[in-house]
Amino acid sequence: MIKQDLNALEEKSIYIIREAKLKFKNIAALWSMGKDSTTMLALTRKAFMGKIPFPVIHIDNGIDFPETYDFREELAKKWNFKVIVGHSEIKPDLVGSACCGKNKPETLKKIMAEYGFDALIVSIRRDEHGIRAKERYMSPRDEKFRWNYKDQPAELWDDYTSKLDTKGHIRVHPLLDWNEIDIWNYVKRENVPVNSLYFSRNGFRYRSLGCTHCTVAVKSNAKNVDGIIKELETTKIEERSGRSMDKENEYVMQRLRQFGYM
Amino acid sequence: MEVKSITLLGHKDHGKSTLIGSLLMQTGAATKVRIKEAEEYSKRMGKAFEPAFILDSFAEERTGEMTIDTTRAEIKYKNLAFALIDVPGHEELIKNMISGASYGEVALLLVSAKKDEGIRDQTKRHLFLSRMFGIEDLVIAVNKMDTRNFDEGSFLAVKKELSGFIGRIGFDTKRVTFVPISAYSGENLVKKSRKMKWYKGEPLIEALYESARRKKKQGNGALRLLVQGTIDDGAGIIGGKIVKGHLSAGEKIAILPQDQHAMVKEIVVKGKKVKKARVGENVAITLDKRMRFEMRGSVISNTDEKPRLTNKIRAKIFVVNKPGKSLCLKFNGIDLQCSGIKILNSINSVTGEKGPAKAESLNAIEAEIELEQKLPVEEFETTKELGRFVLYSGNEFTGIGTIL
Amino acid sequence: MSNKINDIADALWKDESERNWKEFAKTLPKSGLRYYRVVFLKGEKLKKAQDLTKSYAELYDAKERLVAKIPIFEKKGKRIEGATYYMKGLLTINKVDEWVK
Repeated sequence: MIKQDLNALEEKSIYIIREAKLKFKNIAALWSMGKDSTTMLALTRKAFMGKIPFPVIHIDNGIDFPETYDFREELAKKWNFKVIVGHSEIKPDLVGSACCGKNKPETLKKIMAEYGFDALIVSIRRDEHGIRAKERYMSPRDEKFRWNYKDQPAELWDDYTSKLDTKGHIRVHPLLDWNEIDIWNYVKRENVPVNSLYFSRNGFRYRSLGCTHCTVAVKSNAKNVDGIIKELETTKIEERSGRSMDKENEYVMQRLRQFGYM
Repeated sequence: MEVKSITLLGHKDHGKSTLIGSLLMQTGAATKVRIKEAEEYSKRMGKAFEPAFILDSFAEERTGEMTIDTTRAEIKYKNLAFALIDVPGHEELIKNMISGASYGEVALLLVSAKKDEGIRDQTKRHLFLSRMFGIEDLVIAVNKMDTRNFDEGSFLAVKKELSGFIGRIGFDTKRVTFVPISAYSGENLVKKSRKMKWYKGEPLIEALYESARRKKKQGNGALRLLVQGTIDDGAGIIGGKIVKGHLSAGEKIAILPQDQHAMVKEIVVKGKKVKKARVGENVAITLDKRMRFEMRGSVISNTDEKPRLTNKIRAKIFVVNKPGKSLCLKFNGIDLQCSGIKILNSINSVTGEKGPAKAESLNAIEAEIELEQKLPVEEFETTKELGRFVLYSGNEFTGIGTIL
Repeated sequence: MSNKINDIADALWKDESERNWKEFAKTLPKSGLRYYRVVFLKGEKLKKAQDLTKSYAELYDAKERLVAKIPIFEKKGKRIEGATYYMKGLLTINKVDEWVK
């Protein structure tokens, strides 16, 4: 796993987050309480003089980890930002992991429409899964949240030219260039608060967080951020291997993507 | 670790994905999961192991065996990491190709030496575009040498054919390296190939390393701070990025195109107050007086070395779709209407030669554009960020331009 | 203390109502409970909210002794919703010996 220059990554992300806020009229960010979207919030505070000038959305299926709920409330209070909680239902979906599937975008759609958001910051990284390597920094979704990956607008230099010419919205991806290890190095350097589920208990920890039903802990003795960094420097196993969703067929992932999940 | 972006160019069948796959394996960057997935997939397709499957993730891409969109793969070598950006080869996806190419610092062109494959128009077009985007260093990998029994003659033939064109479109031939390889069998990628002893140069990854380390033109010079907008209305804090020079607290600055002068009271970088901010940094600044106008798209410079303020620009434009009646220019985060365009001549992107004054898709033009208002601009070769723009006709992507 | 939790657990098994869940959340901080584990039956996949009736949570004290088992959903009229929110304050135990996937 390649360790990148944190300052360079940070500058680029700050630029993109500012660009999202200043280019669009009404933006929000998705927050899963995981390390990536929390790092995104830390970067937002750097971009906006310690403030988080937009609401963050948590799509809650009711069976998230108790630690996650705890973390949500603590951090929202500490960093003083608005959380919009959308309750999603558990329904069957395309990959058989009902809790994180098609029902989440449906809830998100409702929230986006209710608040009239025209852009949404999503903290995905290219190294998470092959399919995400195709993403742009700013990527349009149509009114049904579909991603037309075959006909994406040109994205040149720093000018993320995405034009909003449908009733859809723009997905903004400020962490696209970060690798998993960069996130942890940044968490360490900046003291970014993280969910306690990431740290080992009884020989297991969570490497990537979904909900209590789709996330499987991985073997690990990493009890703190340093331990995690050390572990990542030697591992050859992919991050999301602990989530049952990703083991499913890639064709299905691709379809899910078109349906607006992720 | 410093990451250098390498734009990977070339025709769809010339083995780009195979090359990335092989490089990922030979440098140990491919995870076991990926290799296993690729093995299984190759088997299911009834094929011998295909390294490209390590990289490609889209189902359609695998079955069609071509790359749909910009892809990124990272490879470690010595003290650098290369981010290889694979851009799609087929013409209908030129928008994606352009997007991928614009991120690169070095271009890696893949040309097949296989009989009847050779240099295609599209290959040349890719080269034309990357030079236009300011790429100065180029590595040309002559691929599929295995199909030619690793014979020097076929390598030299490709080299000869491309050399003239490369010079014509503005590459400095001293900054262009040719390397014979076989991506499929993994020859001359990381280790010197024993099958091509006639080749005295370095293997591909070393050639990339040398190119990536060469100094690029831009950097120092007079201050250019591109303003993204007001990030805190109440406190009057302006956000932007320094693309050239540096900025100090207490300094007198000019704001363009409004042509206002002010003094910098405070600079904040990443939440911390600083006395001086440098190139590449995103700053939040407070001035000694409130600006009443919209700041998005403005440029801040020193008072004595301002960029040119004009509503007439001369530019080289790569045309993707023919311009419609109304033309809109995207520049530095803002949209501007063009009031007129005069085509001076065309440039054939395949031959590099100038031709009659007409706009044709996938070729370039030199033109004069008149804008409805003045803009602070510079030549692309001087300050990239103030010398480039995107053209739209309605919602249709027309092309991209660099200011001459 | 644990008696109180067991009473509430019993009440929850009889009626997974909001009232009982709120009572549970109120009692939790002083219960001496520290850890939890979500268990779902082997081979069962979560396809719909109704499937939450096939899973439950085990609650442990600070010495990792099993104290109680509780359901993991809340009844809202005829609807079923996840109820892990009420377990806020507990930490995952990650016990390996009887790990159920």
